[in-house]
Amino acid sequence: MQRMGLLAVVAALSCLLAGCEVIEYHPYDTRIEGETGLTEKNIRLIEEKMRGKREFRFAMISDTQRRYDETKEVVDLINSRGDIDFVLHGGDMADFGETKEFLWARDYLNKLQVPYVCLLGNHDCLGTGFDVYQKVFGPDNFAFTAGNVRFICLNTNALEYDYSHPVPNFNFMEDELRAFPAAAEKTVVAMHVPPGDGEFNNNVGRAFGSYVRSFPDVQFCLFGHVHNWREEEFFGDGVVYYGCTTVGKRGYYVITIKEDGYEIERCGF
Amino acid sequence: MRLSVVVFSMFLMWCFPLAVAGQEMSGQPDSVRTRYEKMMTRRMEMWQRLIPDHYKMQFAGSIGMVSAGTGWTYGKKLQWETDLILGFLPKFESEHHKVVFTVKQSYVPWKLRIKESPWVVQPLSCSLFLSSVLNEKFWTREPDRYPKGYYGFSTRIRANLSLGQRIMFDIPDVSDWLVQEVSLYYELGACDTDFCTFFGDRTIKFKDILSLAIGLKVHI
Repeated sequence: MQRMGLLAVVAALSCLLAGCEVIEYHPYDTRIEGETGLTEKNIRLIEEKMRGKREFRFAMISDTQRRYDETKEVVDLINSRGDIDFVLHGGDMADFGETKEFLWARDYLNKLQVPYVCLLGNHDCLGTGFDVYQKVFGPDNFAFTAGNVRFICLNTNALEYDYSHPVPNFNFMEDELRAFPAAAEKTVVAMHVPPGDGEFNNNVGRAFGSYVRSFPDVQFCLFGHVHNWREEEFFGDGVVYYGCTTVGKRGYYVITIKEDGYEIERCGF
Repeated sequence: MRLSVVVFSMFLMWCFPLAVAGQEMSGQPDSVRTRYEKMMTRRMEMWQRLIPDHYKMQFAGSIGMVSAGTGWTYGKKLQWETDLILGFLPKFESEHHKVVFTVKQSYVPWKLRIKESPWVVQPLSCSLFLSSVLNEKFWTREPDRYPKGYYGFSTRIRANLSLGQRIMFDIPDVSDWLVQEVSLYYELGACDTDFCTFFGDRTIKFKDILSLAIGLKVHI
């Protein structure tokens, strides 16, 4: 009887402890506490908020891995500006792909007063990172409509998958093109790794370029990964790819979609 | 997964057959021992040292949800410990359950007996351990497809440091028992990647990277 009691106490104690942050089964344990499915939730918020708008402004931050000081700062800054409708994260929330890195990133980004979506970065794929990304955020390829612009967000971290997963996923792009919503007139394509990078599947580089071009009225493309400001026209087809620097270098983009064209501003903080 | 089965069977063989081998030591002849007998005794004594003298069971601590291991307590004041541990990591959101193999070295400098009681407090234990995820998705060195030094770390091996405390029950008359001592311990530790995050940033506090382990050591 006494032994049973002791066992019950031990069991109760372990359950209690298992809920604490100080309990970690392994850095790659994929044990997730708190909010999940953020991409789906935030897409809904963005689409509702932006419905019918033809002009709006969003921010892009990228490569926040191990840069929680600057991430906190840029989140506060975007909140205090008050002119940003939503935020796009260019990927690499985690550096080692560890479970807690995603949860820290989620918790600091959740302090944003506007909805945000996160692309999948190559560092987010390490260890069990991809499993955690999918649970906490959502699918690696996704799309949403903000006002009259369709945002196509792609996993381009081909080197991480060794052909076990289609990267870039042309089927997804084709399906998106076929089911292009009536409310959208223009397209923005966002990815973590740009074409030409060693991480990109460059064998299909030009094919990727033409798939991108096939979308209605492509405004521009966005990418992260390079930790620098970049502005490139990779395929000589008039589609400009903008590289966003890391928050570690204290920079972010503010992008204004206008009735006619767009403005893109490199901001420091 | 196949690798983990091999390691696990080696581990079991390690724990049991050697204990049996030890029995041959008991019969000491009265007559003068021959060179051969002396050599055999020495040989047996040498091998006997390899018989583990304690077992451990642990909850959490970054080496699996639950883990069990065996090892050696040694040194003049029995202040050193070396452990071989296998941990079980349920799959949670990932594809497979995983097994984590750990080699652990500990230093437990002090033993304070509470008055005349069988209770002994060990106010400090310092441990250094290396854990390895036995799953082929995790790499020790980056696979060839990456340029050299692309990530610069191993997803498979983690090096951890931890500090802890113990309370030990020193069984007064061991003759009726199967064990000499039983101790309960806790440890707080962090791994190499955690330290990397902690030292590069002020937002992540030390308490955020700490990982707690609770365990039981049984000294035979």
